[in-house]
Amino acid sequence: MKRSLATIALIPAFVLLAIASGCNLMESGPSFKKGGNGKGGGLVFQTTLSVTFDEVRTDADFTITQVVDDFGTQLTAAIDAAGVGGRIDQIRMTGSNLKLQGGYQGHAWTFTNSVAVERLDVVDGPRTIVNPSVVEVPADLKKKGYTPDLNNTGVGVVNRAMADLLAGGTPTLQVTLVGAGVSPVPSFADPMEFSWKCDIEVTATLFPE
Amino acid sequence: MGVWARLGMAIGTVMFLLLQAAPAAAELADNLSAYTGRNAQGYFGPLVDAFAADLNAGTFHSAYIPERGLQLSLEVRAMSVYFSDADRTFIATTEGLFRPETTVEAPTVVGRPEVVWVEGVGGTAYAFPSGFGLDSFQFAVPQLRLGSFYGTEMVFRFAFLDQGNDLLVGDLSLNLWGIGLRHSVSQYLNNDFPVDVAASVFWQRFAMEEKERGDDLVTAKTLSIGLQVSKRFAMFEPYAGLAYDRFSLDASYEDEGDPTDRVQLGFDRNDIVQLTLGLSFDLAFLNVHGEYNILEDHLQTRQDALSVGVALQYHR
Repeated sequence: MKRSLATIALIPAFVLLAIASGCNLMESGPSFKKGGNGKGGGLVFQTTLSVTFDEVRTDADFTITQVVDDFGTQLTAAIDAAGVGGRIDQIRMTGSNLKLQGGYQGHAWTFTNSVAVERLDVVDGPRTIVNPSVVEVPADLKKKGYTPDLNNTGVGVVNRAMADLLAGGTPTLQVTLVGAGVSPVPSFADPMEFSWKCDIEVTATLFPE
Repeated sequence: MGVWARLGMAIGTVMFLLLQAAPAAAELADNLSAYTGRNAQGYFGPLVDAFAADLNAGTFHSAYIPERGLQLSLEVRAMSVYFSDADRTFIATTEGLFRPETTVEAPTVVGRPEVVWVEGVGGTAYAFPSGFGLDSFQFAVPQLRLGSFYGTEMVFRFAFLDQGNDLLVGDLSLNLWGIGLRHSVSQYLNNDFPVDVAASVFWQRFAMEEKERGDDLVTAKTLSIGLQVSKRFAMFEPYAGLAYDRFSLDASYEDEGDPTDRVQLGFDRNDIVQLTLGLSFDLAFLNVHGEYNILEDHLQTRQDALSVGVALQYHR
């Protein structure tokens, strides 16, 4: 995001130069509408949609769900904030990142983590989107990010939700975090506390209007 | 009609004609936030090269500089770079959270208007932005030539815009100005030397500034050191030049997430060798001229720039 702003700043520089000194960017034909390969538009916009879980676990195995029904709002807000104009042509999931955040807890924890996703507005899923993997929560956690092993069945649920969003629907996703085998076993006297943020990076292609 | 009024009309006409391309410019201003770092270098490279070539074109149209006397020339120079097939693609690498990292041939900003998709793990996909299908990059700039003092003349180039609304990224001002010095080498040669010879140094600076804070968002600088020759035949004067140019463009922007941090993106083009071949046509107070420039930098990137100009000149 940081460097993209500098990139963005560069384009108006040429545009303003055009206006100031009479610059002309000659096009070989109709700009965007002749373009595209049937799969996308001219502009590409990437943004990150996030789901956050705040964890206070006192048992060795747990399941937590989070309902997300504001993907459209998040996406629209991100596009508006970046000043990108145009009709969205396609949205695809690009990748994901998981972040753990927390303070000092006296000792480290490990557990096996996986994530599933399903639609609540239609029948689709639940499907695994993050394959099971062992997660370590350090004693002094602060912030720790890692790239999960994605599963195409769950990514498919997200991509279909995005397609429905484009078609005018309001897809609702339920994200389920499954933790198993927390070690050492937490208790009320020694709970495992952290916040867990799942970032889903999506790419949208747009036709300028 | 005074000289300034004529110049103003000329500039106004050029701007009127060229502003018809504003929709294309506005489309360019629609942000491409997908590119950062190394991909931005490749994506914008051809436009940066074209800008460098245009800036360094059209700085002279004769190697003749009298030793003394008032020499005044008000000029409008239009420069144009036509993009080649090599300018239209670059080797791009996926960024961000996409896995696995994949390298493909993707369109540059002047390339074909097609998004390139790459499939990744787990059904993910990454898109490389399309180009804008641009054939050329052109701009015009006024310049003033003033001499002559011991065979020396000065050249000034200037353009300014105060952008007072939020059309693009806020309140911006833009300025381009340059100053050059040319010196007659002929005065040190024998009178029967077959051509006029001059040496020059020309420096230009372009800046886009955020008015509120006075920060430069984009700064470009170029320096050209050259040697020119020309030969006058009645009203015609063919001319040629060889120059060594350096060009740099830096974009700097405040990070919205961390106002104390500034994001930097730099383009450097070093050791540019520029060959100019042109023809000038003189009609008393009016001079029209056209030239072809070939520029090649340290990356063996070649740009060809065409430049035409009109000068209202006064000699005494």
